[in-house]
Amino acid sequence: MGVVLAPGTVAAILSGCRPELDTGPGFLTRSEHELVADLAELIIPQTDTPGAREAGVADYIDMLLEHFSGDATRDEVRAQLGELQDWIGDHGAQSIYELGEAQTSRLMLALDQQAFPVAGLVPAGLTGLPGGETPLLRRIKPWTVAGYYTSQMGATMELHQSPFGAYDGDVPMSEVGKTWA
Amino acid sequence: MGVNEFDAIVVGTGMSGGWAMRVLTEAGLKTLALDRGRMVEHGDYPTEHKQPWDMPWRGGRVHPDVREDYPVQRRYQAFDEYSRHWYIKDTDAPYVEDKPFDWIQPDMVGGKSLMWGRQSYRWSPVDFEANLKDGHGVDWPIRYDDLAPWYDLVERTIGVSGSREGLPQLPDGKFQQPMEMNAAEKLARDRIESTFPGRRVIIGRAAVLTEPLDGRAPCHYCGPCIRGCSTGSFYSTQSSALPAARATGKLTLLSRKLVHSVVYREGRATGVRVIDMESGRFEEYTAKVVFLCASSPGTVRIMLNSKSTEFPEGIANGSGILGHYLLNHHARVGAGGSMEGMEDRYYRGNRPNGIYIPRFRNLESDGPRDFVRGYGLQGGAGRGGWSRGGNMPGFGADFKAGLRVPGEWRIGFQAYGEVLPYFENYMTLDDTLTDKWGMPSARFHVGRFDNELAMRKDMAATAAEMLEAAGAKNVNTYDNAQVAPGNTNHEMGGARMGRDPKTSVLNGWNQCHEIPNLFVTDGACMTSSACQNPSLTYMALTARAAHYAVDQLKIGGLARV
Ligand SMILES: Cc1cc2nc3c(=O)[nH]c(=O)nc-3n(C[C@H](O)[C@H](O)[C@H](O)COP(=O)(O)OP(=O)(O)OC[C@H]3O[C@@H](n4cnc5c(N)ncnc54)[C@H](O)[C@@H]3O)c2cc1C
Repeated sequence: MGVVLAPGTVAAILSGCRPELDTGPGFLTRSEHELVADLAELIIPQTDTPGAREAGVADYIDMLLEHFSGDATRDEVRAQLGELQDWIGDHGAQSIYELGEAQTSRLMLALDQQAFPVAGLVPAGLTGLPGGETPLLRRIKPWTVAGYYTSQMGATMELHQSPFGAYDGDVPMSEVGKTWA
Repeated sequence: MGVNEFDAIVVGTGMSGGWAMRVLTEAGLKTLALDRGRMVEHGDYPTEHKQPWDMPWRGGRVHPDVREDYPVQRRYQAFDEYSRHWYIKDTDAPYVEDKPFDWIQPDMVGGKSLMWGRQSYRWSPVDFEANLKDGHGVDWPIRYDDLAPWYDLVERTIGVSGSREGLPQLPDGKFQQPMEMNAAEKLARDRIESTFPGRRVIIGRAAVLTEPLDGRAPCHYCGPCIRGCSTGSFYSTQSSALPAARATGKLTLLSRKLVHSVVYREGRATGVRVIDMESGRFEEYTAKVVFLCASSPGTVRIMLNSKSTEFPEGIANGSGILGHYLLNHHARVGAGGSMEGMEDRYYRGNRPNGIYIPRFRNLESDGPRDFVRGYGLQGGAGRGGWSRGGNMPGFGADFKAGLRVPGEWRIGFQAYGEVLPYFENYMTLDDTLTDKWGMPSARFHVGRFDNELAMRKDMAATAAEMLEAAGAKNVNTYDNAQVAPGNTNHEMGGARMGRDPKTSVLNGWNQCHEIPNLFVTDGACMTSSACQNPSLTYMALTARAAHYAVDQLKIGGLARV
């Protein structure tokens, strides 16, 4: 059962005031879960195969946070998601996608560059992004990648699994086509 | 015979115990095999062929609530959600570390034969002569030729795939067809061998079938053998020794029986005292001959705990060295790099095996160095998979498309080195700590010394120079010297073989010098460690000793000294 949130409450919820109705099944609130699902989908979008959202990556990340992360990680991720949601709100949108394609990709590039800097790629003029010791995508990206490619969709539709049978040590790439899951 | 009376008792059902029970039952002896682990029947492999999405935590790390019970086992890199059920719960079986020592232990019938990496290499004449030649440790009471026919038997029985190379330091065996190297490995082999004439790069010799054997199917290359193999394609007690022993009708196998001590009366081992792990009650079983195969520290623990008026410091310990000269291999040192090109080459199937560079140091053609003995390097090459994406810049459709194609070739080698026998590396029983069943816990005092440390420098350097010669780029060396001894799983020594009862526990037949019907054939018997993975040698020694015991029983030769 989904809970419909009135516009404007999301940012408030994520900045700390979290009414009961926003709690999710795991660690993430429903609105945090949505934001994570968006981030994951932006990292691995739907193309000719399903993207991270359909593959349930946000649930996987929520599982990691609930069961495998320490308090320091949880607190930092929660704070960063709150700051990100504020940033989105400050730019007149409710969700990342609502920012419009150009702004969304500038934002994603900036977040990605915080985490995986490549000289000359950092977009100028974006301020007020989530801070913290470990940049947000330093965690969300490897989690998204692991969650996606260990899902059935990721492993069998986007990639494929090596068939049981023989071992062939030297096969032309063209015969295999894509990465083994 | 009474219900608790047998011809032979085998303690432990792993790599060496499996061989003891097979040989003894096939010779017609009524044999009791005991293991503290739970029963696992062949095929009883709950995570075999499971997909990550079938697993509650995606097959990765073990849940923290469970990890808590495994403070030691979790130090091992392969301890994960798929294999956790094989490892012992440390909280039930704690031990003391005077110095850090990782004792990775199984908790089932079959022991570590269900967990092992299956690498199977013979020792060579050089290894059996090393102690005598350089004076470290006592002389082995046997030579390569004593063991060669038993290696033949073991290889034919368990099935070892490998290539014949004619190397004196790594004798060929009775091999099944070798597995294939991949494109990058072949290229690296050609370049390394032409740059360094004394060095060879060969496919790993693995106890994984490439041809059918005794109803066991060849490998289907699913990959993670450690989850169990219901086609019996890799050697384990369950896939081979247990069915053979059962077929004789002579085997009694009891699980969840903790062997507490060997019972000694008037010059002989008369049997074992056992704690039934369900009821907590003591039981006693008797036999004409006892084989200890509980793994090196496991066996030494039982022996130290077997006290009598004649042997107040542990059974067969007249020499006072029982528990000393513990050996292992030192590893977690090597190098890795990437190989350019070959983007149009890939492979199919998950080969449960790597490549191997046999020892080349301190042989006739090399040396002397600033250390004695040597090391081998185990490695392999492969193309980057999806996981590289977690550490890469980028996002969106291009990022996803990039991971659909395999990444560059990566290649790496990890060295496994010989550790010298030191009196200072020893175990005792702790005065107060016991396991959950009240048996005194082991206390370890194991370190590394100058020879190992000097060797490690050379290991990293040669790994790197060979990768450079192979054409690898961005070559990085590593030396994780902080990883404690024991983590290589090759625990040995503690009841070594030797010629002199004053300086060794066992003679050349793995028989206690002081107690002729008590045999120790697991790693505890080792007089030196060599650098090869040791299990094949334990199996050959066990087969040899068990045949000897059978012959001696026939002529009444295991009577008191
Ligand atoms: C992950 C891993 C990878 C490995 N890879 C390789 C490899 O590639 N090549 C190689 O040669 N070796 C490898 N090894 C090492 C190999 O598994 C051991 O050398 C081998 O299993 C030792 O045989 P064992 O009979 O001495 O002991 P084990 O196989 O450990 O069997 C001992 C048995 O004794 C039982 N036991 C212990 N104490 C008692 C007691 N008091 N009472 C009753 N029962 C008891 C245990 O439950 C166990 O079943 C590897 C090990 C691991 C864990």
